[in-house]
Amino acid sequence: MNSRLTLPQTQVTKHFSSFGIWFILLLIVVVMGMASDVFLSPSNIINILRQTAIVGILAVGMTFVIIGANIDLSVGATIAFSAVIAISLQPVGLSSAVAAILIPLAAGMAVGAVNGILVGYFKLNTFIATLGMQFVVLGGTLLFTGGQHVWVFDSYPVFEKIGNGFLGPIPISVILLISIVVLGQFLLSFTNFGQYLKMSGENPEAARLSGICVEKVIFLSFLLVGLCAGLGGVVLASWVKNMDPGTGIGYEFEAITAVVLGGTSLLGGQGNATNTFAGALILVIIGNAMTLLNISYHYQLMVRGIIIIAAVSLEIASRRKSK
Amino acid sequence: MQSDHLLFMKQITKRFNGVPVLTDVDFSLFGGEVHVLVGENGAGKSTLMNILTGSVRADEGELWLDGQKADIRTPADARALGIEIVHQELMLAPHLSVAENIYLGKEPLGAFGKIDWKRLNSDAARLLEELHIQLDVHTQVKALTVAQRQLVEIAKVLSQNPKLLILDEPTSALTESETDLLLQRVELLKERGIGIVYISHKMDEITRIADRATVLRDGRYIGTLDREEIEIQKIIEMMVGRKDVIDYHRRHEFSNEPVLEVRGLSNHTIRDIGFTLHRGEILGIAGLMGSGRSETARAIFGIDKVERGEIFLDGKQVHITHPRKAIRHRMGFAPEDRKDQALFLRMALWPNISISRIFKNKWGIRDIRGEKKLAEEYRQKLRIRTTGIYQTVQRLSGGNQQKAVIARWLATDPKILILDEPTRGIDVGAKTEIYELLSELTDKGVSVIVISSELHELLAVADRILVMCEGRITGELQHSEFSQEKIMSYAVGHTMEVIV
Repeated sequence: MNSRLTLPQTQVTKHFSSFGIWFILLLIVVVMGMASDVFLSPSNIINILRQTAIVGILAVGMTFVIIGANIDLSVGATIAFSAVIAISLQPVGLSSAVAAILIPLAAGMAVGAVNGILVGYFKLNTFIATLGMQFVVLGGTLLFTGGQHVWVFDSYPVFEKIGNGFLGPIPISVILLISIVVLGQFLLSFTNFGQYLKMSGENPEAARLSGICVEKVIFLSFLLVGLCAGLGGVVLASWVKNMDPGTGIGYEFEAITAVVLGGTSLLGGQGNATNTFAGALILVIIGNAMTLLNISYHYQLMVRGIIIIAAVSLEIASRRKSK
Repeated sequence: MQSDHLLFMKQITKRFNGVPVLTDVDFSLFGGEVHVLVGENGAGKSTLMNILTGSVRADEGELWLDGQKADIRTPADARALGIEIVHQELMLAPHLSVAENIYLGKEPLGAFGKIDWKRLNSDAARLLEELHIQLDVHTQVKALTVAQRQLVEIAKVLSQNPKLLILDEPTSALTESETDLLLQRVELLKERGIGIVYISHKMDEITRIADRATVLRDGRYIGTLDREEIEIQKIIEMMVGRKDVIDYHRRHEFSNEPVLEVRGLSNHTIRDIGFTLHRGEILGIAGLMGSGRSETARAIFGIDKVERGEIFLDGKQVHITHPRKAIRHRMGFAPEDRKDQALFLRMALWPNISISRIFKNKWGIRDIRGEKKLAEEYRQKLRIRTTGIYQTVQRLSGGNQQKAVIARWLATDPKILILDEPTRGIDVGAKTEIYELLSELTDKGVSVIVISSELHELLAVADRILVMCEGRITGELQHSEFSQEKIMSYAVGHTMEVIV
């Protein structure tokens, strides 16, 4: 009857649902700024951004996998795998700074490639395949380190910069993160691959009949998340320089939460790397805020669990409404 | 008069979303009778049986069982009244034994609620014996042939002592000798006084076992034939009727230049498919459900594997192993099930139209403005009624969704277009628009294959018709030979001699 009248409204709500996460982020920042005087201090902001760098890089990769209607539970193990390799390649023997960066990246991509072959080509259940890989990679890391901590005191200067350097006031890791977000968003919005991925996630049968090589597209999405995990590992290694081989576990959960908070549908087919970035920021800020407010770690864990459940519930509720 | 019937359905009417699928249909059944129900796909047989088994509720009409008015609201109600159905797709658990399947969900219990395995197995064995079925009840169902599974399924419903049994195309997957075995069992059930509704397309079966046969067409009751009146030709005539001819005319002229040649194409669903498609021709493929029509298209388009056979495009042999290759050869395929196989429902109209075209992009970078322009162009060309190219496809009507799929392929500038059930679930206006569009395309030299269950559609649109049955081409009709009766008799696997 009054479709002309309702159209602008739906357009507004649509815009809110696509950028609403940034308003929520703003709200949290304002509230926290008032609740704690440390929160908006430069050192805390830089701390938040640096923490976001690793989760964010992972989450951008995870966005691709989830848009393809899959999930990757192995990224946490992969990030540790990559970090441990990066540390062990620090000034010893014939190594070089370039190798110390490229080899961990390649290791991450190798894990992604295996996941991609298992899920994309062999059509294995994505949860089971990547859960299995989580254990394979974790086992591999422990084997590599002999179960011991690895650390380095003097890393290559270039390598050192990745996690600790600044460009003006901005940490280099954050610049890396933003580049990954921009690149990810570009891939999703402006390339054939991004469109194929969305369509493969939305309706794989229709995608295939439209000429899309769904297997290859899914494979590439896992390769990308592997690369992101590799890069996350390099950043982590450069930053902490001291790794327990088991540290990575848990990152996959944070990455998935960030993606879901960013509004990417777990059913696949649609998603957005920029909003994933906002999701990652929210997640890190909430953790940071709870620490500043002296909330114990046990409660923090529970809050994180509740956040992901609430985000998924919201998505399902909004989908019901649009139907 | 209702009282001596086991079942009496009176003036049953059912609409789905306002579209009538059954209108004033009568159907009756005596105990100990085999009553065959026939009709084309979409004639309303399934809906009628779904009403009887409680999975669909009639909008109007009455249902009497044993002379009493019955109100069947759920499948459980139907069960309680002694109505059982054996579906065309078997629903057995493959890893359980024959006996376990027969008593699945109603296992005899012993002390402490423990399953009484001894009784379960002996009961099952007795049941099979009564049906003269020689099978070890301990065998796992996955080790059985399709025919044996069918018998187990029948034994399963018989364990409920039904008064009325519906068999939905029970022989569709059986060989001739297996069919004989099954029909013998049906006779046994008849002797026990069970009333049987038997749905089948196979004419020779109908003449063999039917006591009566009722024909439905377009959701209406056409007539009932008694045993002595049943003739294949008569049934076919009743099935196809004299439908209103679609108001649409084609010149039926096309060049002799072959565009697509298929030779001996075979895989697990089709056998030795061979035909030639000419430039500017509309080739119709007819056949009943499961005859291999869609499978032929899928094999040509590189969706399903081809085991044997050759495909030539413009005289050159091609190997199409993925739809992408078919698209490169300038082919397009609009599949049977728009929503599941063609459309990206939660996405806007424009990427749904532009998708098959973006393969041409250099370096894989999209020209989004160009895509939107293309989509808008085809939206206007095909008169897709929407609020614009940004509307999500799930909000479009069936006709407009179908136009979106066709638009996608037209945007790729195809030489060959394969349309599987292009007008299913579409209103008359949109249908005519699609037919006219096909004419326009062929005038420009595009060759079209139209697969359809609606015979009058094929008769109106096609220049030539191939008829398929059980994975083979069983007949070919030139335009001058077109008749619904001929198509139907080829489609049920009969040669012309029987008919004439």
